[in-house]
Amino acid sequence: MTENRLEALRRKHELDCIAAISDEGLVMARAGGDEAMDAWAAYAPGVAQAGGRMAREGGLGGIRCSALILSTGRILMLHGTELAGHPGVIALVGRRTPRGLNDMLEEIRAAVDAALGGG
Amino acid sequence: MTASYVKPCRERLEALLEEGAIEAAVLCTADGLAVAHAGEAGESERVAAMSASMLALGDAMIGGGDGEAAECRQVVVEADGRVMTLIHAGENMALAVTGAADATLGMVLGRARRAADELVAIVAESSDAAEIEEHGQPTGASLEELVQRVLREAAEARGG
Repeated sequence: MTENRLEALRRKHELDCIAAISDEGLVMARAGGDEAMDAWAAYAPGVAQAGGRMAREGGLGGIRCSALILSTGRILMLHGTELAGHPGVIALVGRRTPRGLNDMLEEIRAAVDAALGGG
Repeated sequence: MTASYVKPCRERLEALLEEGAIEAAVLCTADGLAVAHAGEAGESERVAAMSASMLALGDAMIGGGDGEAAECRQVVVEADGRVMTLIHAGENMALAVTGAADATLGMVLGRARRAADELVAIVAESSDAAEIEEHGQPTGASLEELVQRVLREAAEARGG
């Protein structure tokens, strides 16, 4: 059910992959067939955390997301959040930043919460 | 003694700020030593150390996972409507810039990329460019070590 909702969001926003990742770096739910996500997931919490601290050190305040722009033209976006009551990361892979990113992140969070009983 | 490229690098960073769209910039070596900075980017030494580590972390993360043999070109951190972007400046340096509140991401990235290319040329033309190479050699650290390094530097920055 969760992955159906994620898949619908992935198609709507023309993304390659959406993944909800636990604080331990494990993929909890995924839509899209990006095999690289399994390798990236393990380090996503560390990168998201470091991005947050980077933002504070740089005087930017509260972070919304970190993005890695790849030489292949794809963007890997990482958003640190709470998933089902625990720290986690939402990862998006695509060719451009989706419109309405905040609303989309909220929808992903709600879908994961509903599946895992956190919301 | 200050290396001969420091002053022209600082002048180029100050010119970058005058162009608009960018509020602060820090040029650092690949191992996190600040070379030059302009504007208010927090404490430049700490920002330099974290920028180099964050960029290396991005390189290691992407290098280990993408089947298309991708590289991490840039890291963008977005917060409260503003962005900080980290990009490679040649093989041995990194440039961190903080965008102005009203600047578009494309404008920030474009100006940062052009400045990075010019900064590389400035250093390459200087008589003591070897100093940068000495501080810019890849460390060969594992991904776990890089993560630990970034988090340690962040904790030190927070505590210090």
